[in-house]
Amino acid sequence: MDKPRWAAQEDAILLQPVLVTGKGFYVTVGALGVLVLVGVASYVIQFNNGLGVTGLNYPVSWGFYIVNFVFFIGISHAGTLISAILRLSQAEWRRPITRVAEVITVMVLGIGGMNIIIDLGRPDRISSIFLYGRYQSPLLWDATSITAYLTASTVYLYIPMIPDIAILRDAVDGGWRKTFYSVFALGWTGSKRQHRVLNRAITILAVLVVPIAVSVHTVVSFVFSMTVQPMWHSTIFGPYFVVGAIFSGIAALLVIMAILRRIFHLEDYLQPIHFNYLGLLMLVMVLLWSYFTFAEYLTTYYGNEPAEMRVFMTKFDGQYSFGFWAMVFFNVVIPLPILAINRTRTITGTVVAAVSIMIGMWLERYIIIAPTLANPRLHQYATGSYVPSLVEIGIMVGCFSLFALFYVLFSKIFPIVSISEVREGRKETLAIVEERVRRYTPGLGRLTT
Amino acid sequence: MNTTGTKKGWSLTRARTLDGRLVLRLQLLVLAGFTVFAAGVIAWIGRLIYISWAWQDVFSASIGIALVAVPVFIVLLTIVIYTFWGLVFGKEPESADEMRNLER
Repeated sequence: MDKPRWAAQEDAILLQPVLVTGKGFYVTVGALGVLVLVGVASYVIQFNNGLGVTGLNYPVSWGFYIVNFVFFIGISHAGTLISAILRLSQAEWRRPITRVAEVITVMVLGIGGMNIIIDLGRPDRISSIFLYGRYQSPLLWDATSITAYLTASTVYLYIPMIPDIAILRDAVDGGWRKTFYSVFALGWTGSKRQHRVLNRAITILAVLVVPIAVSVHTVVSFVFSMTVQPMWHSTIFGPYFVVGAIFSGIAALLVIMAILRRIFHLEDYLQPIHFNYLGLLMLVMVLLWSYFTFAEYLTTYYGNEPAEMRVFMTKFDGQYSFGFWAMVFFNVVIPLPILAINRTRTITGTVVAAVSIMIGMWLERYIIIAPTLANPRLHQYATGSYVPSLVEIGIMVGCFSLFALFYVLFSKIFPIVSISEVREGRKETLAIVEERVRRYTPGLGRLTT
Repeated sequence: MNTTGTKKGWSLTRARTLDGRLVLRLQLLVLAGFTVFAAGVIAWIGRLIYISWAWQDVFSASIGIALVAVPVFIVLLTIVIYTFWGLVFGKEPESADEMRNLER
């Protein structure tokens, strides 16, 4: 049988997952679909019976759902923010990883936001936010900034993808896919005028999404720090959350890159050097996160304020000590030596560190939320504890599976590595970098004026 | 950036069998959808400002948030319309040389 026209193209391996459907795709979608159904079934149980089927109680009114919300919003920083920073700083090695990262943002923001609705005992009352929301509530700041970030990230994912959609439009022979790609390719022909428009739009968006991304996790932290609850009412919570978000975001990106590299045979595109550079970035974030955590806990300890100390001690030596020390172990003890030593900062090494950090950062969210609610400032009225129920665990499994399912479906519709950016890099990178080096190195002189 | 996308895209687009008008209508529909969404968010923020003013419920906070949020959505909408317009109506080559390059 003759090979299809697209198979002869440069970078055909990037088109293959979109244009050829193997058995593995159906098996993966089926398996993930079953896990998503577990989540849906769990939610149906909760919807029918109310929040009584969860481990939530008085005074611990936030549990796994809010932990997952903060965690998912955190890893959303893997994508658009990192991609925008790398694009603006003209890091040439970014090209194969930008889309991998941007997709994460769009998927997890949606799932993170969904956890808030799941946390509502009466989800029908979400309409009250639209009709009677009060802007002095940080929860509404969250709703606004997450909507802005999700919208900006979706546009930022779509616009650089237009040339790739045009490639697909020209590669498929007909049917609904031809119509679909034709609609979203916006008549892309690669003309100079179109390139000018696209580049201008991407640059403006890249500048716009950085402050929006920073604002999102700052505002998420405000949900906690604007209260006067012990170990929440902290002025460094904004930057602490942003650092934690970028930290877990890079970890998520590395894990997904490794999976895609293995499944789609992208060894030529996602090279050890990408893992090495991101590993170094993650090393910086390990140190920054450790510094913020140390500053936060030392201030609490030195202040010795009774309500704060109750929470502090429950984390250090009490009911939540296992979670706290596990967090330190997974976030610092495992990744720090792996990432600090050149020899271990390999693909396997960075992925081990990244998985460890994802576990550690999930625990960090849990350790921030549950102990404070279990030991509130007005503890004389109520103290408590929190043990998640099977329903919450089922919904959590469903959420993580939904993320994976969305990612698989996306990679079936669009190339997961930007073909156009890779081609552009192949053709222009050396000249661009040479020109840049000439510009800042004394005595080399410039090639162009 | 001047090498992205398909060089043959232009000629292939010309030769496509799809009804170009249908594609354009669908594109306009997607653009209209996004416009309605952005306008909806802005209208929602406007409503919250109105409520806070009518109920004398910390009007300043609503204005403060709106001053940041509304321009973001306006800029996003502008970028989308600009890109849509620039690409859909900017596909023709600017010179004979460029046309030859695209068709090659």
